[in-house]
Amino acid sequence: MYIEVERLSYSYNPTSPSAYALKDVSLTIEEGAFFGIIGHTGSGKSTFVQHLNALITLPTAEKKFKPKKGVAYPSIRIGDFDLADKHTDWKALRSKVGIVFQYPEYQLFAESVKEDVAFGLKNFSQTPLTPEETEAHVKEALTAVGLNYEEVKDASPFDLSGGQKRRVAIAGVIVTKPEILVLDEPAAGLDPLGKREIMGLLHSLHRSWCKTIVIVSHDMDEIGENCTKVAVFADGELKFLLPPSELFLHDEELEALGLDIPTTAKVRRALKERGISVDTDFTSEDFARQILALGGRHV
Amino acid sequence: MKALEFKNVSFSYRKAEEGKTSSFAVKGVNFSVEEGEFVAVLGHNGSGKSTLARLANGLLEASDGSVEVFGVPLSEQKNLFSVRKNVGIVFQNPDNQTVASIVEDDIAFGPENIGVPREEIGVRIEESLAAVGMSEYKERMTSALSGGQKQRIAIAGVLALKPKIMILDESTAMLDPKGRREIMQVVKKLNKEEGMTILLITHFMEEALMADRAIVMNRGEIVMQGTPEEIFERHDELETYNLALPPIGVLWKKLEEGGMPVGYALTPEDLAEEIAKCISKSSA
Amino acid sequence: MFKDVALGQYYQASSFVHRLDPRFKILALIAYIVAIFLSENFYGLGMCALLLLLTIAFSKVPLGKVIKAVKGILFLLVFTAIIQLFFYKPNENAVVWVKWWVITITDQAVFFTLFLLLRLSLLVMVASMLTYTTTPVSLTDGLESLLTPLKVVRFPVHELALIMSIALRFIPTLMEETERIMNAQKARGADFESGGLMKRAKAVVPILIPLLISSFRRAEELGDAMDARCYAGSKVRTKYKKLTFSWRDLLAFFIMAALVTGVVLFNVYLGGVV
Repeated sequence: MYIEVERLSYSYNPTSPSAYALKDVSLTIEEGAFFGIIGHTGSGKSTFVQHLNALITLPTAEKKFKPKKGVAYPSIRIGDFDLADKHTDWKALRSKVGIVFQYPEYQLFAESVKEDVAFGLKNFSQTPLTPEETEAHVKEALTAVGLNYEEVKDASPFDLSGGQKRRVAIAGVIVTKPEILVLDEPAAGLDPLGKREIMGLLHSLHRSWCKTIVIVSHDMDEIGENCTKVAVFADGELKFLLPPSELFLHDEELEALGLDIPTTAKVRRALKERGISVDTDFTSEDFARQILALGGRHV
Repeated sequence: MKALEFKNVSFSYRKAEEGKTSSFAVKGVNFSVEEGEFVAVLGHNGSGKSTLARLANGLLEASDGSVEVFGVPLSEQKNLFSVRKNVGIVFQNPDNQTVASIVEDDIAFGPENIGVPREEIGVRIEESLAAVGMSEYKERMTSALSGGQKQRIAIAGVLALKPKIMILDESTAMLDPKGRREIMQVVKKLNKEEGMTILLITHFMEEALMADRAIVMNRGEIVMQGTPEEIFERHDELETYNLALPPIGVLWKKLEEGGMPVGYALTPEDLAEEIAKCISKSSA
Repeated sequence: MFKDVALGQYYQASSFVHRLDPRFKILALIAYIVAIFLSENFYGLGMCALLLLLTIAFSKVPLGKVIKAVKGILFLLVFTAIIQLFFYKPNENAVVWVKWWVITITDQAVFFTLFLLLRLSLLVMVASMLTYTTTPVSLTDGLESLLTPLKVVRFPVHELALIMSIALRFIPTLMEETERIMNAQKARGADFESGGLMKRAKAVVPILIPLLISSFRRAEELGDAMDARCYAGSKVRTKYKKLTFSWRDLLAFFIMAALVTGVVLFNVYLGGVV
């Protein structure tokens, strides 16, 4: 499934159009991408993400919608789902597009881990599942997020460690096998090791579980290391839509927007000032390889 | 003069059970912070570093050993109030530290508690807000502020008590990079210009770089101490304590492992300088 | 979904009404409510309405914001209106306007319903004006000061005021959090809009439990933060904000006194609504 967004504008307060949360955003996210979304708090990125799951509906999908002439309404297509159509089955859409919100551990509520993970499964299934089927799915999801099913299944989600809670919360979203998984700041609040583990988990999910992954992040190093393509939001507008290898060549423009750049981009710039130019995709792996090649050429 | 001193301090959240020694959140900790010094405490989640903050101003009482603030032991109940006035803490969650809806009322809370006369509270509010660069927000609603601004208000709320030591207990962990920069700038300024003693508890190595000295905690014990440079040079050891190098360190390590004799560097500028040296050497 | 909740919100502005002493504003609100309930005819209520409009004009609070407060009790208003229209017991002078099947609507019922609706709307609007023009802190300061005499009977006035101000402070935070949790559960297929009463009640559990748990966590952290800032009850406490009566309060006092007197005079000389 791909995501195709056209002319998306949104204002939380329709009476003062100057307060746009999103302004005329058009972009496509290809199937199989590890897509990154960057922006400050208030840049519109959260509003954008909520549209993908119809938590915010498009104007044409409102019950009381009356079309006006000459207005080009926004459209979002995700695979076969037309989000501009009010007859679209939102539940079916939400089972295919999973969203993991910031600090997802705060949405846990059930008495046991397995019940919590089964929550989405129960909500989404058309016909009631047998206990065996449910258990099989829950076990698969918990294993996929790197937890030992037998150890955690009966535990209270509130007795787990912070990192484990977050994994359970992610399992509760991927249990319906969404094709697209959207995560808002998946590593927020974790220590560096926890961060590294979560990013590793997302890569393994990307290979085996969800075809497309979209992460929203503030951390440029995280984006630079992991993403295949990046959208940069500022003041509700889409400023850039590029793969990291090209995006971080615009270092000065990014900094003018008050955004950071990855460490590799900073070192690259400092090297350029010293007359050494490096051609890199900005992952630390590739960057080190290019530098070593430069150093080695003359040996 | 020693601003803060931990003498063989242990603490357990649960009452010690027979034969169980692993339940200690902090175990046999010895360290001191000089007046005006900026010390960073590093450790992964659950290493006991946040317990240190609570022990330092008497929110928790040491089960063993003693904590002294400017030479006064915390264990005596009558000292508790005067000590708390001297040791301010800024906590992690920006939403859970404000008691009032309006900025100035929140900052007034501390001074009101210790009975500062009204006129002086007004002066302290102005000074504290100026110190964190938020004077124009005096009459704003606290709920409408950004995370970074909320934490600056929390710092101002602590400053209004005129503390001599400021503890930041993972105060940047929930902020975006912009908010994090704002807080670190304020902290640096307080330390350099006002001579405030700072104890910065964090898991961000980048932040520890600003400190005069760093302490590494693991399983409730101090396992490393030294300048940030000394600590980072022992990066292999750091990893065994579940601490990861900052991105710049990762890059440096990759180059070194690839056979480039780069000298140790902690900023992009320094690393570029080192790389340039290596390349010109090899081309010569 | 929470954007319509008007009560308990402060509208920042610098106005005559904003600067009135909160103690006076609370007393004035009580006097106003008394005046509304004393009114027996439209003249009295009209005077109350006029004063409210004047107050709104002087407060710089947009009229729309105040009307929003009425929207919040729309259901209650409609419900009351229907009950009154159909079940009002008219006296012998009543003129029947509509008679159909078992339903009889008289002129008296219509007037009385309108009277009641106006009364309720005024009540809500004037109460919302108090919160719009008074910061939660000065509101609680005002209450604390007014309740001070109760300290004699060991009533925990200071603690009560603090609890109120903290509750008000956390309303926006908890609303935001509720919305966040709702979104997260919706994304997991939760449905809050369909089904019978039992199903809906059950659907609330996945919101309520996380909200409760986070509230406990917040309470604990707030407690620590307050301790760390030397909170120890009211013993040595000073107050940053001093409440002082000024010429504004005196002026407003005379206006309020005039209102109540006016209402009583109208009642005596012009009779009831029907």
